[in-house]
Amino acid sequence: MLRLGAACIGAGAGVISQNSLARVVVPVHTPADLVLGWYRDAAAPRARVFQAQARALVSVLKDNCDGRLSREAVRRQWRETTTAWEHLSAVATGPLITRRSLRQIDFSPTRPALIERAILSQPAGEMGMARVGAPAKGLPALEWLLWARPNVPQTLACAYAREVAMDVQREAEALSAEWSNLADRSPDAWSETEVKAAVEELVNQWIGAVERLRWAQMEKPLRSGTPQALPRQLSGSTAESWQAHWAAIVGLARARNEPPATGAGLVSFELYLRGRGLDDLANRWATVVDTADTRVRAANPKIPSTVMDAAGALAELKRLAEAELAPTLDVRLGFSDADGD
Amino acid sequence: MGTELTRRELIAWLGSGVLTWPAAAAAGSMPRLAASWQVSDGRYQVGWLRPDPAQHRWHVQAAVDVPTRAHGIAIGPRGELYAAARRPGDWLLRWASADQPRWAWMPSERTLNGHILLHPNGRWLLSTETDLDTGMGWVSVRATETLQTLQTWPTHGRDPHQLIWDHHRPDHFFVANGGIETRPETGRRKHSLDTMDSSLVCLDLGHGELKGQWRLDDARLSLRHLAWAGDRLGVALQAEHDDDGQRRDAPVLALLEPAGLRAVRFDRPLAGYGGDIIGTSDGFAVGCPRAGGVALYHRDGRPRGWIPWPQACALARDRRDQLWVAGHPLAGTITNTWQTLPLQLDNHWQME
Repeated sequence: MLRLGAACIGAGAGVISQNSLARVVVPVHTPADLVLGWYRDAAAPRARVFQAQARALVSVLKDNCDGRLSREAVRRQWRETTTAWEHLSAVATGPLITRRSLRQIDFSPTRPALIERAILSQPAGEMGMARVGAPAKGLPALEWLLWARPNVPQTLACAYAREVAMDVQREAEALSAEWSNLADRSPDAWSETEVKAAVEELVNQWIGAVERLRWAQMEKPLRSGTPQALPRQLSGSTAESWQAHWAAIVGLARARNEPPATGAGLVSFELYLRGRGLDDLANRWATVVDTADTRVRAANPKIPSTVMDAAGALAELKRLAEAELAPTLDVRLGFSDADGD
Repeated sequence: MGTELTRRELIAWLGSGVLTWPAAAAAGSMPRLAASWQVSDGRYQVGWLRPDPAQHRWHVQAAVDVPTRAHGIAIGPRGELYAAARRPGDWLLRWASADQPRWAWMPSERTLNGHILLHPNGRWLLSTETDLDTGMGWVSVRATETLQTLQTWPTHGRDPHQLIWDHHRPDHFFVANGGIETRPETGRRKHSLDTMDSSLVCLDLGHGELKGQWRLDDARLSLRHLAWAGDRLGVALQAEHDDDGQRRDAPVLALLEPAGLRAVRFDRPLAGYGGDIIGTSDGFAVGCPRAGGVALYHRDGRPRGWIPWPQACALARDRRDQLWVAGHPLAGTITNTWQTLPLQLDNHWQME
């Protein structure tokens, strides 16, 4: 089904602009299009990228431990791997939740004392690493090993760093396989109940991602006077981390390029709204997303006012999502839904 | 439905005090309540509310912005306010109107579960918390002045929610372990409901020793909020059954009796959710926002009446034993209500 809607085309950075409103054909997307598009055209490809980056991290760490590659090269690869991970995990759905991947490979805060203990225990392979607690492994532990502790080649610490990287790679491979299975599943194989549950998960986790970026990763470390709690602070990658999270959030929020045909491509929330004829809400949505986009991009961890501005814009985005987007998608999130309290 | 009370019956039940608030207002005796709420512009606040009969609405007498939604409130001996972030929460607040707010921030491995309890000596504050590594519940004993943790005890369950002092034994307290598994990566989403394990525990403050633990027969009833009515402890429940019908008809009150914990039925469906509970001289009142009213019980658990009230949740009792209900968009007593707009009051409030 197609619908003529006041969607917007022609933007600078690939985002469809409101300034050049034009009437274009907007397909009517179903909730199934929304979640299957997310699985097939966002999550599964990102999982493959993360898998490739994780494999590269293992490789450079091996060369580094053998004395053939500088620590700086390993750090660069850690940043690439972490960015790929954050693109994938910022809006954590599907296998990321069922496998508890965030806990497995991104447990924060990492615990240096436990890392030191793990180094001495010389765990090896999947079984060995299974006995190491989450606070001593994963990407945060590698960050600590690469930035806070001298990572001398041919030492136990270097060998442990390699094991941690291989552990991350194993998780990346498992995630990629599971996402591929989900993405390859025929749209007809999804029951109505499964689609409803998946939409609820996607919307909830998207809103949770906005709130996590606003509060846990931006505002709280500043308000609580604990800048060390900023994400990836040890490696000086806080701003990159924010941008990676935001890229995942905005990618699902705002229409990019031409609207996909029904059942093909990533369907943003904006396009979903426009396809339903909710142009007024879609326009307000686009404005709020764009404001957040501008402010998050400008957020500088060294200039608190820019961070608070970004946090304010994210709060506004979350409010609109809870108040108007979620009900449109038949997802219950209202203030009066006091479930569990 | 047999127990919907008439206004006359309600007034009789609620006591013989002065029930028409315009008269009370003229005497300048409008009560003040500590509460938390969301403002229409999206901000969350904690502060003091007082009815303004002339404007037919609630007046914010003093308020402080808080970074995320608040939940439990406590009033200190010098009129200072304490508030905890809604679960999974990461801040605690101590605020006296004339002073700057004092904050305590949770370490990354712990979250607050929304409820706090002041010790009668005014020097200690207890908070329910979750260890994010294990998912298990803890109670922290904190200094009220600094909010810093002095001691911490396991609650022997997941998802500890409200706590209350034991009427019978000094320095013993009860904690309602809601029993629902949540995870940091999915916020408030519930996991593994088929293995949920809710319990009521009694702990001793000095050593955290487990003095008793009680469970309901129906493992899908989550024990969450606590109140005394005389010597009877009531527990407000939240149903977690998969079946809509079972959830709709589930009890929202359990009583701790010498024989154990017993869920009691009401004579109308209550949508399986009791959001707040308070004890009165005659029994219990349970706020049921999803059913749109307040369920009244005798002390022994027999239904006593039903007060229809849109989104009724937070409950308080004044010195005349009058019930104060916060719903949306109205809050007040049975005989007088005032608009809450532009505020959306949260689940709990407390009379000064």
